[in-house]
Amino acid sequence: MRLTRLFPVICLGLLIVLCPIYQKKFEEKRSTLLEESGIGYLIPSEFITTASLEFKGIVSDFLYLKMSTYLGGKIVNKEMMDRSQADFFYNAADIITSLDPWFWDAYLMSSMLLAWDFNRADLATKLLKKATTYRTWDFNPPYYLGFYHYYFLKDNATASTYLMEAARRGGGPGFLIPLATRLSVYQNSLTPAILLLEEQLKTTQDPFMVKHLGTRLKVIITLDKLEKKVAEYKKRNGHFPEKLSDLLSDKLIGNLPEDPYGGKFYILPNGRVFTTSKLRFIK
Amino acid sequence: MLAKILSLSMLTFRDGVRDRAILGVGLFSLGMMSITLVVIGFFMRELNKVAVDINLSAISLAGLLLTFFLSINLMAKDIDKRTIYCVMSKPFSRAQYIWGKYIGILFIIITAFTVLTMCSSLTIALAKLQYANWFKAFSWIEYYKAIYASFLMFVVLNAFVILFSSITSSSFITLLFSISIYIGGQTIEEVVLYLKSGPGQETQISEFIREMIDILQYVLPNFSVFDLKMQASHAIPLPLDYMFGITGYAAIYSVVLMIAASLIFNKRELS
Amino acid sequence: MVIIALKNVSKSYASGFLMKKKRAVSNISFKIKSGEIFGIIGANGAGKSTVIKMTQGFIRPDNGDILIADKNPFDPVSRLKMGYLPENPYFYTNLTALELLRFSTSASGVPKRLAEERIKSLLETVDLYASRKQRLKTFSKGMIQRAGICFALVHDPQIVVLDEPMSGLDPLGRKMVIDLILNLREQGKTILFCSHILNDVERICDRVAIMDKGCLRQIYNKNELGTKTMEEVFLNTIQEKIAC
Repeated sequence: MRLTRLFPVICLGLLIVLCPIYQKKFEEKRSTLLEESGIGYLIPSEFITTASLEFKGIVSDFLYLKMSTYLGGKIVNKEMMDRSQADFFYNAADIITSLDPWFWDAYLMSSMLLAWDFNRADLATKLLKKATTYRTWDFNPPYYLGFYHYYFLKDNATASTYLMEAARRGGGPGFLIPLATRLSVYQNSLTPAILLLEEQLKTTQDPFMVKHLGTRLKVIITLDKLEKKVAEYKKRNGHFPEKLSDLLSDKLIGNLPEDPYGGKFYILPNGRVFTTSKLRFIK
Repeated sequence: MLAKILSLSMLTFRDGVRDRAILGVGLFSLGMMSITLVVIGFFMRELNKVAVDINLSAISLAGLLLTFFLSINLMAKDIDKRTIYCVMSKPFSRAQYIWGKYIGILFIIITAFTVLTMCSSLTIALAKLQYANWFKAFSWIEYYKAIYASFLMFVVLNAFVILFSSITSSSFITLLFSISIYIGGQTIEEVVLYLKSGPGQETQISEFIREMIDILQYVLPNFSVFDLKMQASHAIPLPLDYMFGITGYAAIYSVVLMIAASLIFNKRELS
Repeated sequence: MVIIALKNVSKSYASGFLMKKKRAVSNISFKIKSGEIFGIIGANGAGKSTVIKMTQGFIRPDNGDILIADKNPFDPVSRLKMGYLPENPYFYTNLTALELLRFSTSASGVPKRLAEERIKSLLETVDLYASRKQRLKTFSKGMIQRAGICFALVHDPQIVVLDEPMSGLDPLGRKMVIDLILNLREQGKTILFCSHILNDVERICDRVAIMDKGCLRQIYNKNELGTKTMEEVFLNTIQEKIAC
């Protein structure tokens, strides 16, 4: 009789002990499955826009958070993402911004990711054009469009148009109009990128994003300084230096700068300075 | 006549407000609101948008839970449990019963919304205090407009609950139909706009279905007009005439439904 | 003066998948005079509750007419001066007895001061005054029955319809209800009374109608019983098996 009463208690105790162990083993199998699928983040279905009913806003927040924490994990672990995933991220961002077409954070993060990390400025600008259409009061979408056309797509004319549109909308930084009109002067300069990143840093509160943008800004400022030193070298010696150590020998720089992304700076025959990391973390 | 309807409304209100379900709904919504301060820390800039999204969604969810569980319980189960005899043995006409129940249910929704609005206002005020720099695109007026619009949706949805309850005493069938109306009402605008758009015109859909959707858009309530959450989260101002417009829409729709419910219930046998 | 009149009243219900009609009440006619206690007795399924529901306007007769104080039962005014206690009363369980009775008085248009006096008096009579602020969900079956009696009587109705009023009551409770009913008769109220407890029916009612399988078999005056008990009369009447 006593054993009949104790039996369920013993069973319960055993299960309480065994369940976490079983769950842990199962979680390992699950992680393997997710890794094998290539991406630990599922793209939201187009159906979700209709299925969200009156909760489109909060669903867009949730999907954005999912995307940003996934990307954050990749960046923190310094994992390079496959360029073929660019379309994947574009579609995810498109759905998030279809749920809430005014969601600036989603546009901003996705366009930055697509332009800087995936080198797909075409997709980035496509997203930003959507933002420009919906956020009619906001100078940011045309501002970023202008910058991306200038920096990535090398289309100064279109860049200037967008920067003028940003200036017209008001509320933007004071340099917009002079930047728009003097774009031809900045054709081969990194100054617009520096200005853009500094502006972004001022208005971002997320500490992770601040660190990420800060790293990028640091590298671009280094590239800009090196390009100016290269120009100075040419002025002195009549030709561009072949390698950075030439600037060191000429006492134009005190030491060889380090790329926080883990790459090496190098000089092109036309005097531009780049890095082997391409501003992305290398494994 | 009004005094009688009011006495039944107060009876319904007291019975409903003491139901344990309302406590559960309230705790759930408050829980959702309190996570606002934690969740917004994960976002970059538009913290006002996220805070407003979470709080308005919590209020809407509370309204839905109250409608689908409490309102249906107060109405459809009244006949099932025979508590209706205690009312109908008094000098109430069928129409007075219907209206009395409906107004009592609306009193419950108003009370719930008032409490939740106060709690959500406190949550947002705290979030605003903590992240003042990232709450620039926020407006209290637009926020309260969105809550009011959400309430109007529940005025219409509860009228549907009353209508279905007047037809059947099965609370399950009433629940099923009410949920269907809710989903249909939330999606009909999107479907109609899609069919009118370029890609929609090219989509292979039979003429019969297109005709049906054409008719349905006038039969089903368009609940999308009451969804102002997106506008509130981005502090996009809505003109006053729009607010008057949706108030009129909700009033006309619910009166039509209530008259239909009264007529149907008049023929109903309470056996 | 005739206060309740049923004339050739019939009622059928459709049931089952094929919606087959089942007759609940068949061609019933009777009149109840003002100040009379009229009892209806019958086996389960005889149609007693159906007759009572029709007098309350809950269901419509298929044929025939019903008049309550010269008004159609569907007219809410017919229920202004009527009190009803159903068999197994169901009330809103989150309310207190006090709230329930206040609702009854306000719905019947009783002035507030008078209502409070009557509520207090009735609750004391049925020994529920101490529990008046407790929610009805905490009440026992007997307490619910007594609350139901108060609900039916609190607005001082002229006509009282009681369907199995002794149900769930202990002997003390039953005595209390009988005393109440006799008191109501002294006040000149008209009472329509259904019960399975034939002793009570015999004791209280002026006239008794016996129903069987939806038909009204016979109406007996109290004086007509003679030396026979109500039970003997009832069984003899049922066993006659006369077609409706």
